[in-house]
Amino acid sequence: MGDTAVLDEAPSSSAPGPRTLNATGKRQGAIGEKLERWRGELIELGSKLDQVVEPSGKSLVSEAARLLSRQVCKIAVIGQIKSGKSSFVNAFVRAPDLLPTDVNPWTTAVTHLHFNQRRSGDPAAIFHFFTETEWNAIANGGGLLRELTERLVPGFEPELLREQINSLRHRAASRLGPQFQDLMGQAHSFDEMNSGVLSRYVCAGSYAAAKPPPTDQAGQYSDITRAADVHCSGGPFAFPSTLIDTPGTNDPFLLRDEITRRNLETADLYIVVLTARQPLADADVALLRILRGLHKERLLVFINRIDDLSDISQDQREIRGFVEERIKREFPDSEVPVITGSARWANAALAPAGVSQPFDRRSLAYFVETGLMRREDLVQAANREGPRRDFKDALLASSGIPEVYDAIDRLMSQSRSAHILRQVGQCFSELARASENTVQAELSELSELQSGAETTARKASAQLPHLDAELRQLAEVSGIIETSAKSIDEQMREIITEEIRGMGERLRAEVSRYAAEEQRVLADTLRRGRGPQEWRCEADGLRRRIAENFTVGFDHAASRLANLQARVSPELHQLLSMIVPGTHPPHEPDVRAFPRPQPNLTSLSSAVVLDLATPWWSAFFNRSPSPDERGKEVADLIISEFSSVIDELTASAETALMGYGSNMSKWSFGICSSIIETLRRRREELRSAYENLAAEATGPAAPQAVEQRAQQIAGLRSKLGQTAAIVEKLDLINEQLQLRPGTSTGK
Amino acid sequence: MTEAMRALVDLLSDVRSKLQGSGVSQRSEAHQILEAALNRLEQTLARRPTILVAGESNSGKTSVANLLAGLDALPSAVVANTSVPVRLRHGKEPAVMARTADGAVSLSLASNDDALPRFLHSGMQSIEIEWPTMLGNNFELLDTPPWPISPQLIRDADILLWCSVAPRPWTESERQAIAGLPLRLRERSILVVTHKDALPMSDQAKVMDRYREHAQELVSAIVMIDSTEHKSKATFDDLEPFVEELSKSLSAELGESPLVGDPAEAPDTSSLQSLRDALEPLLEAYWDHRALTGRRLCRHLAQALTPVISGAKDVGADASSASEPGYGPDAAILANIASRLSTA
Repeated sequence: MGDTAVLDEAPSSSAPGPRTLNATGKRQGAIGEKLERWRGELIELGSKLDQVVEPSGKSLVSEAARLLSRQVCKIAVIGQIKSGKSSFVNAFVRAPDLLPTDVNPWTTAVTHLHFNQRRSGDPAAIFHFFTETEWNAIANGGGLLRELTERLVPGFEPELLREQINSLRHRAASRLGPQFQDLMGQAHSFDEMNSGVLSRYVCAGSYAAAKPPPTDQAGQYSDITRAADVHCSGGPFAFPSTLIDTPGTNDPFLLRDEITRRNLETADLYIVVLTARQPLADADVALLRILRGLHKERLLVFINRIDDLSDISQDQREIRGFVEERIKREFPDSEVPVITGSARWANAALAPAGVSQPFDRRSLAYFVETGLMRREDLVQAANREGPRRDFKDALLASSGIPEVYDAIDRLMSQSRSAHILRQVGQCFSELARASENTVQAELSELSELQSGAETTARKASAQLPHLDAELRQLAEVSGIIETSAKSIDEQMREIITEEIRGMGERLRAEVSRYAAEEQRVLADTLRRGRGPQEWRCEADGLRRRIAENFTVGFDHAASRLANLQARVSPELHQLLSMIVPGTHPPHEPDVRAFPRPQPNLTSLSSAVVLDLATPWWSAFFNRSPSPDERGKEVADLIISEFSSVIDELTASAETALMGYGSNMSKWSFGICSSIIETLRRRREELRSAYENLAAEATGPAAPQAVEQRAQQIAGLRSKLGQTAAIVEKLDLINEQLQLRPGTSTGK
Repeated sequence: MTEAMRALVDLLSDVRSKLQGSGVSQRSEAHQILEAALNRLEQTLARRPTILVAGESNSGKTSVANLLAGLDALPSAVVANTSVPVRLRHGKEPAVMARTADGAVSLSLASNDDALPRFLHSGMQSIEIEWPTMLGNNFELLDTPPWPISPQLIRDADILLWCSVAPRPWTESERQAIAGLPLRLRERSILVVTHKDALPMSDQAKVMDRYREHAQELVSAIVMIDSTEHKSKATFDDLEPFVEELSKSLSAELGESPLVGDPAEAPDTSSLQSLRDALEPLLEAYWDHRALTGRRLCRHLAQALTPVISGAKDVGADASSASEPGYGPDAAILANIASRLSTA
């Protein structure tokens, strides 16, 4: 069966591999294939680097290696209810029957499909139930919506939410019986998976609370399942990835909507699924506006169900144009891919039993029109002469899924994971070069010593004061580096504190300006005798302004930090060339090329009272007496609601900048200290060697000492060779990692 | 027209004939006031209900309006423009007018295929269409742009048809839209579930269950209809026989019919019928409500006549003191009319 093919750990035979997926040959490989190859190479090079790097660098290497092994790209599939999210997920992971789909939305669970992440001993699937606390929080509190309405009108009880909570409780209790309470907070795990198991936890189906529990156990636990983690094999990914299927937004069952919103924050990429029949309705735009606060270029729009259109090619063009234009307005300075297609076609093509989904005259006409099928194919197929394969290929090629793969692949190469790969690559490269330099220096030192093999005790005694002077110099330089590192850290902290303070002030001023304007408009509307239903506070406009202001401020702060670092680097290198004469200074890292941090804007998406729909507001308006008082109240509300948003934003900016700054200084100072530490160790070894020599009787050097040095030199030569090879490979990888498709994200 | 309405209309024509046959001078103040009041009353009562066709974008509003109006399609110049409200009413001759801030501009129907003149797009407030096939439909239709619409349109509406698409049954934004409407309108509203034919039979029932569970209390009726515009434009001409053949061979292989959306499909009449059946009681409720208002107005009128009657008494007392003293013939008739009106 198709579903088990993906769920089982055994390599799948029935599901086509990524290379065979698209008959038109557009797809070259699995998603994130290059990224995965580089990740593998970096991990391998990391373990090699660990062998040659100085002890002080080892912790840096192992930290980076751990980071690499934990990389997962999370992709959330979001959209309104009934946009065909689950069908899309099934088509995307090439398992047409994996997630249950139904005409009515049901599940409140968030399903995580994990690819390339299963470690031995991991169960194939885990289903997490709500804990007693979570359940009660929802059942008694009603979650965010309740909290918001409480903030707007204290003591206000949203009747609807309470009804829904009661019906959920009732249904769960009736379906699960007495064991209901015991299950809370538990998790069920399975070593083997099939879609039958899945449908007991993550189920779509009959919604009515009054209905008796289904006999086939479908949806048995669905009311209390909070999240599902399922490991899949096969699938379209090369890079470790997680696909997240969320309950739809704009659901009158308010809890589901809320669960989706909560999950929006955690993903790296977002696929917004729209339906062709109602493309980009107001609810979709609202969803996009939330995302806008979060991300700029990590978004993809899939317009599903083009098979519903009456004139597929014409309508499709129009719809795509409409959506693209609208998206351009919402995200003016970024390129969001908009792809049209039909998950139904893809699933029909992927069904192991053949084309089991009905496809209609319009679809056939479309395939012929777009050249995916020839008219003759129709005749041949009708005469049972042609290969049935043509249909599958045509269906798949026009389903839009291959284009989605390509787009995700591109987006992934700009994702957080790619960013981390780049960072690790550069750091490895610096470490390897530093190591190469010190080995080189040591080698020339030893060779010199070896060439003057007749070194005598006298000569050795004469060398001792030089060595002592060098050691003193090293101590001095390392002292300087330490103090300057401290001072740099201090300066960075000062810059950050200053910038964050300024940012907070500017954002607060923005909010106050906005609040004053809203106060004026509202009071004005009310004074002219207009009802409050004509006034609606669009918090999204404010969010947009905050986001713009924030980004500008953040970039400014980051570039100040980078400039500080850029001033320091040459000084560091000068110091180093002073103490390591004759060796190349360590490869100059261009600080401006250092990957820029990406500030976390999630707090912008936290819902505020202002987001509540009009009905909730009427209760608010019924309380306040005069237009001016109402205006004042609203202004206060805006300021207090956004005050915590701004606090969170600036705190996250501070964390990001601190991390950025200390990362930069950690790497450059860390590498320098590592070089100096090595030199000091070597010099001390040398010194003790000379001391031994000086203590010996005058004469040619002891043969054992010469032999020992020869061995050391050989060891160092081979180490130098290894290091040079690592450096070379890293340069190659870094070069490729820097080549980013499309517009570059970093500066 | 309902029983209550008919009774009221009878009463009004009775009053009118009483007034005309009474010999009360047509120039007298009493006659003029009464006549004006009766005219106003009849006009008010005769006002045809406005059926507001509303819904989110692409929910099938225009199809529903066309179905009820008996139109195959709105004139093409209009179809391209649902960004303004379109008012459809009966007219002997087809006529399309664009209403702008400066008044109405008649649009030539001969140039159906032309787009609307550019200047109209900017200032156009609504489009009004008179159409002969609206005959017998005792209402006006107001096809609206996607929700949310201007509060004025809601205030003017008497009956609501809310369109929702079956493949995305019942969203929170729809619920909020309807819940926010005045009770007066929700009490005379139909939730029209369109695109029924986009779902298999088994799913249609499930979707109806969902609508019933969630929306039943918000509206007066729920009706599910096919999409009317969902007709295939694509044909294979010479290959049509092969397509048929292919369809058969595939369905033999798969055990089900692979082809849907037959181009020869007849226009669905059951959709219109079920829509009309659901609309009928709402129209009756509308007329009953009108009648109720009318009766109240009649009673107000009767009360308003009292000072006029006493005025007429004085006049009668002066003119013909011979007969019944203090009670002139005009006053008697007016009192008679007033008592008839107060029985309303």
